[in-house]
Amino acid sequence: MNLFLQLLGSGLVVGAMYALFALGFAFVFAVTRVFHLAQAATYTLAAFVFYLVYVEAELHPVLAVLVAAATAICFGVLCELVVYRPLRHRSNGDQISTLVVALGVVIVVENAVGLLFGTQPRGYSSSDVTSSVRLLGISLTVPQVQIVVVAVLVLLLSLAFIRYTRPGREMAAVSDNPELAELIGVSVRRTYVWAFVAGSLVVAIAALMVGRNTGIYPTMGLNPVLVGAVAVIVAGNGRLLPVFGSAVVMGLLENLAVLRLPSSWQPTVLFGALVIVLLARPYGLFSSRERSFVQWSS
Amino acid sequence: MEFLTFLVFLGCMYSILTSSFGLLMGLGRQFSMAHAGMWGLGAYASAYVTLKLEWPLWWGVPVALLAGALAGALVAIPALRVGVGVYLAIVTFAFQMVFVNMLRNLTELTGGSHGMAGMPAFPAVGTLSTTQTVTLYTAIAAAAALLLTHLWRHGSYGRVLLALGRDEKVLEGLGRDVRWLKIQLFAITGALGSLAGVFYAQYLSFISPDSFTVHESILVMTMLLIGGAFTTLGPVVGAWFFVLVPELLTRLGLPDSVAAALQQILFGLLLVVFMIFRPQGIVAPRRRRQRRPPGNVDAHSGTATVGAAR
Repeated sequence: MNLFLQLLGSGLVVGAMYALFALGFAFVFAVTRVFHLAQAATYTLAAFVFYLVYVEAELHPVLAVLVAAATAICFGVLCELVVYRPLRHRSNGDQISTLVVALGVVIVVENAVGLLFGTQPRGYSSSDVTSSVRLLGISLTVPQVQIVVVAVLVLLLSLAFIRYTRPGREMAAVSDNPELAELIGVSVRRTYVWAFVAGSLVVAIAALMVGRNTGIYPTMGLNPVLVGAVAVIVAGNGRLLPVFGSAVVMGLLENLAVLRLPSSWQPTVLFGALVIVLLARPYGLFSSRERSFVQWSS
Repeated sequence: MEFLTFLVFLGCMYSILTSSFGLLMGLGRQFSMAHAGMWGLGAYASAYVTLKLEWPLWWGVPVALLAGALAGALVAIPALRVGVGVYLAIVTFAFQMVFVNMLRNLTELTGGSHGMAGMPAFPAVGTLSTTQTVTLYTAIAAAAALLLTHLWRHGSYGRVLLALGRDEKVLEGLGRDVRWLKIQLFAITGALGSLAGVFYAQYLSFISPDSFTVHESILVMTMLLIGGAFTTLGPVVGAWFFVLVPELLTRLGLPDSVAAALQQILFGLLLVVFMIFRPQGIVAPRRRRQRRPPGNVDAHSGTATVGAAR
């Protein structure tokens, strides 16, 4: 029972981490249908810029956070303006082309960062990494608890952003029906840029939170971003609550599997479950056939 | 001399991989991230039957072909459900992750993370060394794969596969069984990818899960797209380009780690630039094919494309 609770706790932490990546991915994918795997590069850049300003230059952490977030946003918008938009205009902007180009961007950034900083993992050491919190018989470190809190905060702020701000509402409109949105005077191009701003910001937050837990290295991005993408696909549509839910379910599943199987089998459990889910419900767990992305892609 | 043999071997082996992946992605427009898995399956299947089961040496080849074909068909089944595009990419990515994870965990079968070593080698031909013998066989297989893809791309079966990539619904309307076609395509390309794995295991006489990760799938995809996915020669040019250019870079006298990173940066940039400015790759089809209109393909333009391909 104790083990179960402990696994539930660490599953929630991992799920919250996946949820941050999934939310960042969902902002871009739901609005623009760009399979923005280059968020792996955004993630690496944000983590290393924070490291550079905070640890190497020894400046104030708040300044480091702001600089890292600004870098991430600039990079995301740059991807849209320099890479994805020309691709769209050259009439070969199908989803596979954008996915391939995104992988190219990831390769470039990962290796450039590796060239500058080396491929050895680094960490931003802070005193509270080892201190733990006990709650209902679950023992977690302070940064782990922070990840959960931050993930929930990001979810709530994102929901508020989409509901109560003009760019957020325009994003929802474009996500739903770009032609109709254009007709009522929404600039689709500008909304795309907004989607990249929001998505990149969420990924920057993920970089700072996760980097404290696991350390940072140039190739750290692709796997969590792909898992985030998987969560968006499993949810089946770009609505934020289902996306968040799928990510948490994936984290829980991966950790609770340890009850029956050695932990080295976690990837098989996670990705095997994905295949089964998509076989049973190709349009996603929380989506109907009509509202799913699948209709879009096929 | 040994080093030169190795380069020739790599060029031929990657040619088999890119040629088969070219049929899948270039001709049939089925984007798979599991091709490294097919390659690894061939390597492991042949190593297992010759090393652990001690079957006669040549049995490794048909066993690997069969395993690759079955695995390809297995991957194709969920692919039928989820359709095309990024969904296929995600499902095949999942298969790739499960495959490598199983290689690591099924220790009795695969040797786990330590891999397998000491596969019995093909008997040497004439005065050639063992590695040269494997290279010779690999070159023959690469030539055969090239011939096969050439015949297909210009034959009626290739036209059907082309139509499969352009618009399934039209093909279905013409009375073809699209599902069965997809399974065939995945099975055949899986078998060919597996064949490359047999030679890889033979040449190095050591295999481990780290050699067959999703990064290798991405590498093969990059080779294919830069070489040219829509011609017979394109995949081969891409494979040799990627084997030879790093060699030229190491002659510049840079430290190894810097040279490796620069090479990766170069390949990444090439991929981005090619996809935007020259999506047909280095070797482009001679006759300009009608391009897909932006956005979704509607029935009308799909018909036009299939018609133009005839």
